[in-house]
Amino acid sequence: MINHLRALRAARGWSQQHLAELLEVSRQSVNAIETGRYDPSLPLAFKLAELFDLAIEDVFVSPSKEQ
Amino acid sequence: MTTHVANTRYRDPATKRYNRRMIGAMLSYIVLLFGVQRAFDLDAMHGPARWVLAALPGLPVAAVFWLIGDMILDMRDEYLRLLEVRKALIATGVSMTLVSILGFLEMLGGAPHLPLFYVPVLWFGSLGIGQCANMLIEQQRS
Repeated sequence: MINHLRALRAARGWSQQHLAELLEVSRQSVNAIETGRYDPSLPLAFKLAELFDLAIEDVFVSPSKEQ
Repeated sequence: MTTHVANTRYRDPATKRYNRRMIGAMLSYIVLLFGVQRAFDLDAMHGPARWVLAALPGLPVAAVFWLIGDMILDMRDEYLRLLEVRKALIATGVSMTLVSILGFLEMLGGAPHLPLFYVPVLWFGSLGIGQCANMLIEQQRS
């Protein structure tokens, strides 16, 4: 699933490690989500969106709307 | 049989618990394996008592499978959990394929008999293949 995680993280000056610590997951997980190798569960997707104070659809692109 | 966690700072509590329990299981295995052989003359025994004593070293091995399942269920990091599940599935597929082929080689091809004890050993070895497959799959996707 395409997402804006890398851009959102960069805008806040957060490293993958820092985001991983905030989410209580591994840096490997953050990297897998960012690169689209892994689609997070709903609870983790909500946690991500809430960390950035955004709605889920502002972080993740719906597969039906992908180009 | 240890889990791979790329993040040096992140240690899933389930993984730490697994490693601690694993040491206990392995120590129990060594104690039971050598203890049973040293304390009892199994060749001179017959019947259920011998069967029970002979089966004892298998219990810690069974515990290892339980520990792996327990760790997978308890892991907080869902992506690392996915990698562990995939690794175990690949190990199961590889080891079952090998023992199936070996079974037919024994039955039809005159190959020597492999004691069943080696099946879990083969599975544990196949976890390494699962780990390599994980790395290749993840590299291909990135």
